[in-house]
Amino acid sequence: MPLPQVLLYAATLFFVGAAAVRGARYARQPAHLRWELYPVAREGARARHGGSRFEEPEHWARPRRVDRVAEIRAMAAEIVLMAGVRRNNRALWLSSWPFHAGVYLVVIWLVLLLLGGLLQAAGAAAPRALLAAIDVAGFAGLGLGIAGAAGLLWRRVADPALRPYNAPADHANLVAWLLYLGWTAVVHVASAGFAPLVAVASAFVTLQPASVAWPVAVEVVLGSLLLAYLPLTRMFHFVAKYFLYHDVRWDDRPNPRGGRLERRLEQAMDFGVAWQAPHVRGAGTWGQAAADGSGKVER
Amino acid sequence: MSEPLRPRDLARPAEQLAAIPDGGLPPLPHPYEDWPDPGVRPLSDESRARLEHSLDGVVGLKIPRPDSAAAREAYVEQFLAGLDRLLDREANWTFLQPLVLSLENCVKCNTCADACPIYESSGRNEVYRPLLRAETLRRLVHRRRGRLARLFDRFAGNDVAATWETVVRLADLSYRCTLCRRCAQSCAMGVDNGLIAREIRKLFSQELGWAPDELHRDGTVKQLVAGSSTGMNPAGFRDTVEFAQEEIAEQLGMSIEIPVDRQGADILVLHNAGEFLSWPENLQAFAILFDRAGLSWTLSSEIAGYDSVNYGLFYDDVQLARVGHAHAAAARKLGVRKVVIGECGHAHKAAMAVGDRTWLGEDNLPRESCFTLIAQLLREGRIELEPGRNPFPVTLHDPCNVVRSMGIVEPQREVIRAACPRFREMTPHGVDNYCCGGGSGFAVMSSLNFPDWRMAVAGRKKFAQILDAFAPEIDDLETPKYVCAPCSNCKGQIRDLLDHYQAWERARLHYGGLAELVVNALKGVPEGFLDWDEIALAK
Ligand code: SF4
Ligand code: SF4
Repeated sequence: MPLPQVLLYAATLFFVGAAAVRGARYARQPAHLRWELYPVAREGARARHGGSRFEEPEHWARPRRVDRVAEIRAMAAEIVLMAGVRRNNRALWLSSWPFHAGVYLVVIWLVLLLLGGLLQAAGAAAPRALLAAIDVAGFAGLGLGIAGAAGLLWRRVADPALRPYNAPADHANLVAWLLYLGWTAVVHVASAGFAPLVAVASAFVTLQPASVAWPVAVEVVLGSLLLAYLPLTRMFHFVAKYFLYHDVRWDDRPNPRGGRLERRLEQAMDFGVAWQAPHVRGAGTWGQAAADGSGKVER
Repeated sequence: MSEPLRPRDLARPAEQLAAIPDGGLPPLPHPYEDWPDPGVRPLSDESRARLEHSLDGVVGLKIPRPDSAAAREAYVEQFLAGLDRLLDREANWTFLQPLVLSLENCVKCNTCADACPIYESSGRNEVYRPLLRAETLRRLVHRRRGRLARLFDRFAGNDVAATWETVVRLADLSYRCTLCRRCAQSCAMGVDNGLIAREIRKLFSQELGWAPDELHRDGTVKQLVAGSSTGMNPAGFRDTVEFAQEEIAEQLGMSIEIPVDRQGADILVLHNAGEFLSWPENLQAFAILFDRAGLSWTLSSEIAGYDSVNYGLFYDDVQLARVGHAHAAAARKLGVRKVVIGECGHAHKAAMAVGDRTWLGEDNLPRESCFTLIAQLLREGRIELEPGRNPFPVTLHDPCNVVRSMGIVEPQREVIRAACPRFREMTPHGVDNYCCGGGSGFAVMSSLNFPDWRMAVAGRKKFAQILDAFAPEIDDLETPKYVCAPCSNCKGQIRDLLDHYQAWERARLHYGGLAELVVNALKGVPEGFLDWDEIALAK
């Protein structure tokens, strides 16, 4: 099997594994104290003024209404339109949105390629509509992605407020995208389409060796390296953002007496207080520390 | 904008990294065009020699200067041990998930800076950029990682050295943020720089025992030992209640009983004891209001049972849990059905939101906001108002802890709209509000030149907002204006701001709580609860 193809399998496995590990690491943290931030989308109509269930008299005695539709709408606006950045930093959004939209389209393009590959492997030719969709998603994604990544890189280099916080990695991340997207765009503009990639996709899904021209082989190598690099960087934030919103910012789950959450919290109260300041040293477990009352005065 | 400052600069040996320049702060609205703005007073030579001040020349934490390199080194080691505990799932279960998520996912876009009132009001002083504090901690954390990760330190920008200077400046820097979380709200990623500031405070408190005296020694510790962070003991509290009853009788000719330790009452009301000393009219207003509404209620004279304060919320999870437990114990002892939190924002958040997950088992009693309860009484017609008795312009300050952190936004507005015909909002308000500048304990931190900083920088945005809200009448000295600040700490800060900026003299600005406005307009209560002649006389 050609080396680029082996690399692509390895990178895909690494990417999926890393996403799962990162997700599991965030999900497996102990229950934490409430720290939500309003507005919370799932509060429904009340979210318009940032309200919560605490606004209702005797809120604990009323059924909790969770507006999933509003929640999904807010998530969609955040994912598709990047509503938060648009609202709070329009200048950044002008680069960030094209970049992210470009990445989404590139992902769609890859999925369509896989579909085409599957069809080819099954002995059917990819329908023209699919090939057209591949062209549209591919060229639009590459164009938007390149424009966005270039804009973001320019902001990083030119904005004096960002400069003191830049690290080589921040530039490298964007350069990595530009290399992959740029090379791919050049290759496929030159070949006027993505037809050779359908054959690569077919080989990929059937685990058969693919024979491709060197420019496409370079494209596969660059794509594989980027795929494997992503989980090592902050660019993997799409996994974390789910938890940042659902487990923290929007986590307004109440804690009724005797409920499942209370049981988890009670387990946490059995953890030891390992801190060493005079007023906590030797305090035993969190539960014991909370109940020991008076504390100590030493500084 | 001041000189660029990098996180690694915190390690730079220098007498002082930054300073608040006199007159270098953003201008205030009319009628303060000519305000001389004294800025922040320099420390005395004695204080400079004795206390750490190398961040910005302001002292809030009062860290004594160690006398030897060995002592400094020992503190750095303690700090690093604390850093490890901050990331430990047992030692820091309380906030580990939010912290890790915030540490690992900032994309360094700087959107948060524009949302931060401290950064903006300092004239965009780089030392107060929210990212500086967060990024410093982030880079220090990364440097505690394994050898393999350390190979990439340069590439990843993990360049902050853990030196005495870094440690001490980071500690101070955590007290240049009011934990208002406005930055977090503007962050599309969901990263919370306010949380990070609090985690830094916590590390210093729980590992090194560094916390402002006003919050720890004279705050939570005093509360747990004496009963209240004001130092008021149960006997003093009972005297205060008696005095309040006499005042009501004298001023309004009403005989109102303020119940204390009434076993089996429906409601335990938890007030911030600061009210009893500084604004007893708030206690009186609640007593009149609840009496008129026919509620079954009581106060408690137990340790911490008469002081809703929980400064642990600002700096220390263990103290947070201890004080919360003491509050719950007082409620349990009286056998009340529910606890109602009075006009104190952080007490709301400590008991109802954060405390929703520390009041466990038999401590897990229903808790409600006084704003919700008053709005309900109005809605149900159990109290009636004559709003014409509040003819003066009124604006409302939103305590961050109540709005942004708890989503209680409308009930207090429902009440104030019903009670005050000339009510107007500040811009922005509700969950987008600006902190008063006294948040996270700053309102009670009053030593050395910290109050100067609190007035000139931390509270500047709020003061400008207040002036803007009253712009149409600001020059009319015949018309008193009322800033409703339904939170004891905010009220203390707004009192200090109005005094500092001579706002009564210049614009007839006064401040107070929400219950006072309600009682001033309450049917069946003689007029004159708010006595403007007396207020003017006291100025
Ligand atoms: S905290 Fe959020 S807004 Fe601030 S720099 Fe990081 S990602 Fe951007
Ligand atoms: S929490 Fe408030 S004061 Fe602190 S950095 Fe954020 S916006 Fe600024």
